[in-house]
Amino acid sequence: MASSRIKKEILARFFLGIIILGIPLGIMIRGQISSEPGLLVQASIPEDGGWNPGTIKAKVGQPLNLQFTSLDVVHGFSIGILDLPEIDVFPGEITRTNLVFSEPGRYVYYCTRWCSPNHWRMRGTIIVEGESRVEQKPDPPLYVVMGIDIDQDRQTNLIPEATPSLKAGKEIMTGISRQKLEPYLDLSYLRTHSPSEVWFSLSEEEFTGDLSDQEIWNLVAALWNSNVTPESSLAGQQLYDQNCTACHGADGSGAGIFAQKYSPGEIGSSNLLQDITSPADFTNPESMLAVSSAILEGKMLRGGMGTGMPNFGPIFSSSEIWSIIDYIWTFQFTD
Amino acid sequence: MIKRNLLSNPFIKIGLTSRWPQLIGRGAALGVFIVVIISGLFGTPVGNRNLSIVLIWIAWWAALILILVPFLGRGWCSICPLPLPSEWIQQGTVLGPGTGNTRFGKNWKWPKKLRNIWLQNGSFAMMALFSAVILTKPAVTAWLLLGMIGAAITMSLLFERRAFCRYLCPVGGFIGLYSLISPVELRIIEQDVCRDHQTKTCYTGNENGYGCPWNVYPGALKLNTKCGACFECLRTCPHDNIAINIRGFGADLTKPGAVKIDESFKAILMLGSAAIYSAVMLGPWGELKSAAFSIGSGAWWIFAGSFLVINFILLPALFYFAVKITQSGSSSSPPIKYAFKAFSASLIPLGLGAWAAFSLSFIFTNGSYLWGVLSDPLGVGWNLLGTAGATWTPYLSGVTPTLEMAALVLGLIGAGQTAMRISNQDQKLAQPWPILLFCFGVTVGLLWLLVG
Repeated sequence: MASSRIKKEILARFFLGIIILGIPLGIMIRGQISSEPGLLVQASIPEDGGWNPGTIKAKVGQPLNLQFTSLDVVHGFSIGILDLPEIDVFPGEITRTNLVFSEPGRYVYYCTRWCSPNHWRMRGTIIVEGESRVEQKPDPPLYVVMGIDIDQDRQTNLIPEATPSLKAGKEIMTGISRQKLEPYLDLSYLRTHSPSEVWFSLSEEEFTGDLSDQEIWNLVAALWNSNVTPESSLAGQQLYDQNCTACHGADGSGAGIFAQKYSPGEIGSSNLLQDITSPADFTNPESMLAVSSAILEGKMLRGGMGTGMPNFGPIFSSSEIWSIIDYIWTFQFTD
Repeated sequence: MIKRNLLSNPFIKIGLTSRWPQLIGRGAALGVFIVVIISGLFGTPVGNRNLSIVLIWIAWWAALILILVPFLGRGWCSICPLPLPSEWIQQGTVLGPGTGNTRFGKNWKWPKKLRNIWLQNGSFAMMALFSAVILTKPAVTAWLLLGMIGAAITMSLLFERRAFCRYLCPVGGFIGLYSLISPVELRIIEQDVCRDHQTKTCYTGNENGYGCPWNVYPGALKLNTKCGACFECLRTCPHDNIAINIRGFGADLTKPGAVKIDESFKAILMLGSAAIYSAVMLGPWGELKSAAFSIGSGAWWIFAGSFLVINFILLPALFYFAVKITQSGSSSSPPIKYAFKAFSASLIPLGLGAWAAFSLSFIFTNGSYLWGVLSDPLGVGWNLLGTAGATWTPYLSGVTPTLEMAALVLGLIGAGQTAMRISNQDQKLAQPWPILLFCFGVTVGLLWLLVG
């Protein structure tokens, strides 16, 4: 009788032993079997660490297998400069991708979804090693070439009575010979001068002698639009909507939905938001008409300015940056 | 309703008296809990993609409230895996007695002053205060379960029998209270047989089973509250004098002394918690939700303070006021505490109805998450059952509000019937109307919170 009980007890212990030890062991083995080749990249909002790992190494010409998952909200993955489709990263789901880099360098990968007020802090680096096939290096940005201090405070008192009209400016342009306007239509001239500087130069020209101050402003608006194509204008608006609206607002006034997060009153809510001032107001003529496109490019490339503005240099291509700048000027110049 | 002894069916009798079916049930539940804990600790922190959150706080909780407790009383307690390690350590066996006395631990008696469910009221309230995080963060759920297993082990090493289940488990307290409604009861058949049985093996144990782990003498068992459905007394009674009866719903509620004062407060706490949970989890108040989540912040302290004040002061005071009115104008009124305890039995069906309505709201809305996590319990990309890609699909969304309303109305009807029966049975409690008004008011409030 006692021996039967002992046998039953042993059997019961064996049964429970299988459960207690077998289940963890089974999960471990299943984990090993199912682990597909690839690096797991976990995404969480920047306040909780952003991308993990934050640095990934790869080699030129060799596939980089990545598995993405989000630990909180929906994120997106993209690599700056490269023209790759965005990958959505969903909470608790695994999304896989294969990348092959043809050039060595440091590539920035970033989140493409507005996941938190610090969304734009959510970046990582892919270091690609290997030999380069490209010999020519890209040109440095205009503000570097010209040695412009993009942090200098710039204001102008030269303010138009009404918002300069592009349409009216184009009509004025038709009455002025192309030759006289040639220096002002030069792209590098327009990008390196502020609207107020161009207005001042134009006002001293003989061919503007009959024009009122406002009409000269209208002419400035037309000049600013002279190198803008409908395609780049649309691309600029889309990029602005995706990347700038949250802080600068759809109307450019600097009152986007996250703007209050960057106001001094909110500082302290996050360690990442120390000493931050409000986003720039693109509708303010005093400040905007005093700066050149080269300065705006510099600010976009480098970021900072004590505003919480991220550096878009590693994210956007040169043409993307300029299309955004062209769109930003539409807040000063109407159709 | 005439009671029917389920043990008259030989299959049920063998199934419950044999130790193996229960061991297999407990083993299965333990296995699931192990997966839950591993998922919580090592799986994705995304709640709806992690088995620990979906299985425990959506599937298990809904099953507990909607099926197990209303129909089987403490049925869950009979296979609950949380006290198993502690019981094995304490008893020295996993299957049952008879392999030699290897009892381990101090075996102290539980302090007399704590022989009530005040600690369980406290542990439930503590859990509720942190519930926003517990219910959404898998790791917290896993640590909570581990903590409960650890507490059960600690208590089993110090005190005799299942002190944790009886006096500390935050879930066991309300399961016991709501099991008064259940249509299943374990009772003795003949009082005389127990009286004449000298050794009382149901309490002391013998070679066939342990003495009641819940520290109950089955011969004196009148209510479901304290019976843990462990079925040891079925095994230890040498006279086959234990029955498992099918009876009418709520049969225990109107028995004299059915509810003690600590249980009255438990009934009120459960009712208040259902309302607060509904407001936090389902309501449109973002600031309230944020306050419940931001543990340690000023807003959370206000939330926690309000929760405690509502459940331990405000609602009891309102109910006290209603009870007080029942006594006005009567010269033969019993002590207010007596009336408070007696009428608080009506809050038990009301509370269960409220929790059922709350559970219906999320099981149909979020139940579809279960298919995904069963296939990928850790949320790491597995597809064990081929259902990992199942998308979130609310079920029966068109009828859920109606079902919620039905649950609340059923609870109100149960509360009303209970109050009326108590009043009819006891001449000293002749005025149930203020209690009915209180229950009606609470139901209207819950309807507004849950159904809108």
